[in-house]
Amino acid sequence: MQKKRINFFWVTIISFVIVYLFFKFGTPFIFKGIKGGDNLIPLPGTGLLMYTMLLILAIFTYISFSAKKFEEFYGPIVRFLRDGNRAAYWIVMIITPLVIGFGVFSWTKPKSVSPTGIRIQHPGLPGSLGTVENPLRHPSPEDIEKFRGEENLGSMGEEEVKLAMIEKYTNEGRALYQANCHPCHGCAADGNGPQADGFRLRPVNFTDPGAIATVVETYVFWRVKEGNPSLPPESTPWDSAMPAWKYDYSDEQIWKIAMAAYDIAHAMPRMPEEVH
Amino acid sequence: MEAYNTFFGLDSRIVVWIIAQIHLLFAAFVLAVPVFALSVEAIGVKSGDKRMDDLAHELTKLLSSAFSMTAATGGILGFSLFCLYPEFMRYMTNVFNEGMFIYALCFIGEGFCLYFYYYSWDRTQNNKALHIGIGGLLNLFGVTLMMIGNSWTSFMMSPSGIDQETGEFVGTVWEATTNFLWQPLNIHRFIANIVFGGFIVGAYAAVKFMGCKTKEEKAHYDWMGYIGNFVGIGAMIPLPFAGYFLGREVYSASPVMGNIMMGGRFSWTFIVQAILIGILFLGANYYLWAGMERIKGSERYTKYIKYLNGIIVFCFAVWLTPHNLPLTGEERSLIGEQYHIISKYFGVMAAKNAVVNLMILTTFFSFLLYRRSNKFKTVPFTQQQGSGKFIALFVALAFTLFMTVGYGFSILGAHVDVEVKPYLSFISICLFIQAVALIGAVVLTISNKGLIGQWLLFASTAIMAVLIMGIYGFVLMKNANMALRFLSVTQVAMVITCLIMNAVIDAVYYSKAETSEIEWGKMHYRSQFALILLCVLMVMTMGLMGYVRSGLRENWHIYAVLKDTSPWSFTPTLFNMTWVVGLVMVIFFALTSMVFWLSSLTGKKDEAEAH
Repeated sequence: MQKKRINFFWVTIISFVIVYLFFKFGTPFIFKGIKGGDNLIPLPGTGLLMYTMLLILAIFTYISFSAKKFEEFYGPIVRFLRDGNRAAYWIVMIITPLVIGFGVFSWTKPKSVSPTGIRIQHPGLPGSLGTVENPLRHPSPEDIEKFRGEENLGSMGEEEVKLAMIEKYTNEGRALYQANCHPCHGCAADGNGPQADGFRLRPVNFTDPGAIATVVETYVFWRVKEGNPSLPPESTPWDSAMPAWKYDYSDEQIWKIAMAAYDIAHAMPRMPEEVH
Repeated sequence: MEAYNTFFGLDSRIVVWIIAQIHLLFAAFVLAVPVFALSVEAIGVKSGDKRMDDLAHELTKLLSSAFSMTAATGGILGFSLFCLYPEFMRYMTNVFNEGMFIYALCFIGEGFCLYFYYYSWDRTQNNKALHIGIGGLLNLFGVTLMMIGNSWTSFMMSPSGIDQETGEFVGTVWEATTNFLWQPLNIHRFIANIVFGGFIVGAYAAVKFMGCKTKEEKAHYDWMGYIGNFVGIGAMIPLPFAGYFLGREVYSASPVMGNIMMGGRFSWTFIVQAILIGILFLGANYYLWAGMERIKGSERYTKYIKYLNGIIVFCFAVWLTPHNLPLTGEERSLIGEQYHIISKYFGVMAAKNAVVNLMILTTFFSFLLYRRSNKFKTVPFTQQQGSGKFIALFVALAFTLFMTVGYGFSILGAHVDVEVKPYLSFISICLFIQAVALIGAVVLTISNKGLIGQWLLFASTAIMAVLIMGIYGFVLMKNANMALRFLSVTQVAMVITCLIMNAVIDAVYYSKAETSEIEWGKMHYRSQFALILLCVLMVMTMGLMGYVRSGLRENWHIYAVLKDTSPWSFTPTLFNMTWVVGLVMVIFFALTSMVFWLSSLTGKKDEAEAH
């Protein structure tokens, strides 16, 4: 007996439905498995929309690149519309606009959810800081000699003295960090401080490769110094609880905090590249 | 003197923006199409294929009216700038004084060469060397004009020759011209213009194809569309690398500008760009796959298309994913941290570099499948006559070894911190392994196992440049981001060497193979719409990236030197940008349609005279 094959139209529709259901209901289990914890982590609505659109694009590309495949796909639709069972025809003709109408209505009706917000990852650094470098990481020869005298380092090489300076400043920064930053950003700079759960948008995890490792040190200095009040409107300053530390600490202390943040997170600041 | 004026109360910035973008699109047209026409003509002379000569001539017909349009829009742009931004232009003319005269002289030179190249076509049929020489001169003027224009815009982003204390320009024209971003911009624009030229020829051919009445005409325009798409894809492959180089140099010239570009206010424009480029890649592949229908024997390979489609769409999805997915408050609470897992991994450069390289490899693989669709029984390498195949293989091997081994050693010798060194050693080892794979592929080809050689190279590149280095990128981001710049270039070097060597092996392997006929003209209309779509997408991408490049200066005419104090110095929203870029696209295509129509009048006249 000849095995009955499902036609290409239905294969396409079923494939779409399966992949969509996987996005919607399968991925939360995968995300939970990766992240751990008790809660399922959904694929956000914007992500679901984006990937579903791509799925439709992929399917359209596949069914339409060849005349044969395209005919296999739309042939059953044309045959159904022309010669199909009349009762089924009218059911489809009535249900299809209703489903689309219901979908549009559901999408556009007022809902009791907070709006989707676009957030800027790294708000623009003020131009005045464009050429500023951490003076503690790049000390002048005079500063190095002064430090040598203060710490009685004798005939130690200049590079070693510089490293000793950086180590000292970083340690001082660590003390400031643990006193002021750890409640939110955590002892290990992983964004898991004891107060972190109290925020709607959790404090930044500095150990994340996409966080402070991708910006120059001056950027961290600016964020610590100016906090959320200086953020431009598109960066949603109301989504940040970062205080402006310029009222409590000097620039030098803030540079030390920035150095400590990188050190604790085992990250390195982004280095401006040589201009070619 | 007023610093700013208006035309009829219009927003001066938008007026200049629209005119500048339209001028730039036409300028790209008259730069790219001569490069294209000259290359096609030269290939025609070498191969003796009359179709090539006809194609080059047909393309040149489009140029005469397009050149007038470029000059007209350039004139309007000049007047607009001098009238609306007089103080800014006073500064620019003071800096580029002599350079502007050289620009004008080059324009006259280009005009003379263009019209001579076009009108002497028939008369120089017996003296092709002279004609190609004129074509070369035409292109030389075109590229020089582009480079001079680029020096003005790149100076506005990274001014040089400036006294840092007073802000006054104290340098020479040459210093101002050779500013930091000049060369990266030259490279990026030149390659992008070639892509644009390819796709505009493709779109022209598609429109003509759909209006054809005879089989011969259809075959001609189908073939022309294929050539246009081939050039477009060919140039599009190195374009992401050139874009990466430009972006890197923008970051180097100013970390503030770099931060605004990739992480700040303009970061969302790169998501829009990812959509456009992703569809460009998918569209270009779609056209190749559709083109396989005109080749008998392609059935052997069409079964792979679903996998290629899947890979490209997966790469597209990763490239598209922003680091900060837009979320509702409820979703943020459920996620429990700043980034969703998807955007945490897919949203950063390590992942994006990996998928861009995979997308390029896949596109090249599609092209190889297309190329071998009409090829059957091959002649073993050892039984082929002639030394050309050896020379080709060894030149390609020498070049690719120079790229991989040379760069590997230069990484080992790089001056970086001690803790970064071990990470660089690993990258160098990958390059040396790639060099071994390249040698292995050549040895296999010489041993009549060219296909295995190609697979070996694809596998080593995909595993190392995409998989291993994609994951290693995350390690470097966290522990040694200084090394990331070497990683990205290494990925590029591996992919480029794979492409070069595989193309040469393919040419050698199939050089004496039995072939079937390609049925030119046997294409469905959807494929022609794909060609038009590619051109539309390219125009939109150029408009978008023009906005980004210019917008990065924010409220500066000349970055950190001359402030824009006009009422229009704010950064437009994404919404406003899409309107302006969309409007530019519509105006450009309306004007281009007019150019095509005008050139078709000449064709009709020629036909009438022939009858």
